Amino acid sequence: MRFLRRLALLRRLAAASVLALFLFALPGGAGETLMPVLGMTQAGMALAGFLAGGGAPYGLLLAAQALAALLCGRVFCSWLCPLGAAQDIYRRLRNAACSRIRKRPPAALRHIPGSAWRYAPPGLLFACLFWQGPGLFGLAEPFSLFARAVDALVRPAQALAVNALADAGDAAGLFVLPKIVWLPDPAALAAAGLPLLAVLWLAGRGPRAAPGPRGWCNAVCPVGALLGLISGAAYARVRFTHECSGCGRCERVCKARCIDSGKRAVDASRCVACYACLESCPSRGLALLPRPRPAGAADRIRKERAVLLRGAATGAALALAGIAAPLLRRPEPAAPGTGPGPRAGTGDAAARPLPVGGALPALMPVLPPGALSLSHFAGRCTGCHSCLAACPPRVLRMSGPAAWGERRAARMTLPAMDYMRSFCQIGCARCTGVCPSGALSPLTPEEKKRVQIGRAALTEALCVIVTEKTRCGACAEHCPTGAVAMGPDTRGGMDIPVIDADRCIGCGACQYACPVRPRQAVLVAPLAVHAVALPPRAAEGSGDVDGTGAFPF
Amino acid sequence: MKRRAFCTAVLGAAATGLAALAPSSLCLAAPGGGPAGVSPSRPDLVAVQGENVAAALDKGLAAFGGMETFVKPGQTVLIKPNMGWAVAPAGGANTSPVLMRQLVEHCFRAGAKKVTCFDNPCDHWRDAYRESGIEAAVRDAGGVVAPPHSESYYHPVSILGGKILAQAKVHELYMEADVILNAPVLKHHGGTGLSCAMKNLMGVVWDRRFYHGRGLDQCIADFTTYGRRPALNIVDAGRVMLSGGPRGQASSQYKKLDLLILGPDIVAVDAASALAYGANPGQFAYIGMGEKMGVGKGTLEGLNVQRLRV
Repeated sequence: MRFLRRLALLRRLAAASVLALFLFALPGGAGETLMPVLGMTQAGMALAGFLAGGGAPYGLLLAAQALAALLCGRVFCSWLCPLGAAQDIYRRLRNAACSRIRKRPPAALRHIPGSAWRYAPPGLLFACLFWQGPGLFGLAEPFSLFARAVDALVRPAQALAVNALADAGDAAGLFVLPKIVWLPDPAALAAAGLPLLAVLWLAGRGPRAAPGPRGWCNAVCPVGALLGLISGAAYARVRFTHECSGCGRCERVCKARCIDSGKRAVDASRCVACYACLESCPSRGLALLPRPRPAGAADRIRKERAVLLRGAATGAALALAGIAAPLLRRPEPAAPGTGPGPRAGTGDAAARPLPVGGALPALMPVLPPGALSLSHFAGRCTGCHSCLAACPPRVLRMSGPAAWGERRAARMTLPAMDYMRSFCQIGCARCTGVCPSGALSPLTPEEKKRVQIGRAALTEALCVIVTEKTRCGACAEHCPTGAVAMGPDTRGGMDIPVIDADRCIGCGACQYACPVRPRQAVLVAPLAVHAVALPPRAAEGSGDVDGTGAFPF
Repeated sequence: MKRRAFCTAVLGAAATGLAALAPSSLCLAAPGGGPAGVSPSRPDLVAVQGENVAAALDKGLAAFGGMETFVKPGQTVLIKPNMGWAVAPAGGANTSPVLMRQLVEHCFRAGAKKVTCFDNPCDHWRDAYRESGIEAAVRDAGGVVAPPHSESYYHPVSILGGKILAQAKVHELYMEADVILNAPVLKHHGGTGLSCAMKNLMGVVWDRRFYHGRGLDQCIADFTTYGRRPALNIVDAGRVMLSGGPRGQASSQYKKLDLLILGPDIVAVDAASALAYGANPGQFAYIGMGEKMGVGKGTLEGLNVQRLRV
């Protein structure tokens, strides 16, 4: 039984490790190595990936989560969820502040009865997921919420600290610590800050207000609601034993407020498996038990049948939803035509079945590499912004509602390329390696060099060579593929940019470098369906000219 | 500069050993060397041909009396390479890392207290620093490679001789170094036709878009009139990119020259480089502008040119 008392400590250790690992992976810059593994622990990502038609890998992850819940309840919520850990830490700090600063003990918690109404907000979020894609769902999905907050709120704090250190070091002539350039993004701040405020507000509420320190987890969180439904039939769960003295300590420490010490009952669907109750019990009044004691044989059989039925029903419903969701969703307008014709690609890029470029719908931003198409990307991205954290030049930014012609609310948190701030590095595919929901499919740097996410076009009337009659060439200078070149066309005796859009990968280097503001003379038009660009033109002739003979001057 | 002065003062008070850095950090030191300081017996321009760029540098510097002519013991040196692109050394878009390493070593042998290096690149700086091989080479030789990516490193200065570029934000290391060495690579450039020594100084300025939007050639010439100038320009003309510059494309043509051009006069060095490139210096507007503004000579007439082979 001593082991049971230590469970709470063990889970604190686990939750703290997960939290630390995520902080190390996201702003810490170790995302490329850590995220592929860390992302797999997140039930919400498995759910979003599976419901978007991600298939077997996400199905297996989801099945593992469901099985864990069926075996021992919502262990995800207390052991693996970084948002859960953040809430617990916040509550602890708040209680400490209560007793140290205000000189009064934190209010004791009391049981509240569970209401079926608590399924309404998560239900609404699931409805959004099916009708609008995972954007709105991701506003409340715990991993997305947490990771978004890390990028929008932890990073500026990190920048402040690092830059102060760097300033001191640079003044001593060291220059070993590069500064972090942080530019404010009000939309991303709001999308991260407002849901987080709601979470913390609920977590900090007093004993009278429902629904307790893990209020978010039991009133809003869609992952918590789903796992709760399964955990209602969990096999090994917290139950009262004959040794319970009825002291009520367990009830007062229960973050989910799901223990009724009077009736000696635990609502397993709300229990987040933190095991604080086991720790608090002075006798052995609570234990992790497969069945209540005592239980008649008939009772036991009924219970076990219920476990099986609930598990099977949830599994079947999820599987059905996974199959049906992609069919239910309205297909994106993928008009044929303007894209380049199908071509026999070469090398690795051709191995991936990328469709031919499509026309652009009403209004959309340039989607990151690996997004494949608007329907693929918008159908899977929960807006966790892990890719933003992984992007070295920070060209990836939250798109915001104004970037979209339709479904603005559902798509506002989706990341997109912002060529006003930076441009995409041709040999870099870091964003595609960190996506936990599969919205960005992994690309190798070699493959990515040919993935066409947009097509550059010149508005000649805006070009400084025409308007100012001065040489520029910034666009051609920055182009990594040779798609933008100066000449052979000329205006006023000077070469103007000529764009070979079939070789353009849409990296935005030309648009970013263009000195014309507010609207650049070279713009990258987004592609609703990403394509494969033609390879860069090869050199004519053979080898270098030899000039090593006589001195040239 | 207030932040910097403050930080320096605080650290200097904390550790007396660091206090020695204060004068150079306060930006009071005059630029070392310069065209005016070169004695007539010394060559105006040196061209060294040879495949071994390190040996070519040794020979070229010896013609000027060694690095000691430009770098005095205890001085801080900034070497400004071209590492603007995340392209491997073979691409000819960046200065040769072998040349950079040898330069840093020469500076230390001449008694330099500290050698720094940076470039405000076009590609993401981390990638450009790494792919160019220069970061590793300079670090190996004991130099400091400074980051360029935050606007806070750049401070506004007035360029009195500038026709268009009257003000620019310049990297603090360019302002502080006792000696500046300019180490460009010779290559084609889509905007100006040619990129070499004068164009390379664009990489110490924060806002490149101003140049492009307002007159690239004139802005390049304008910045060379600024009081702080390189004491010596060392042009890497080993494998010269003839097309698709400045980044270089798969279709780029190259000319193997195995040449190193050294000289204190930045305009004359560019004129010589233009000739080496296979063009007339008059084809490139900024060279003529530089000469007209009195920065240096736009032709090689009357210059003491030494031609050496390794």
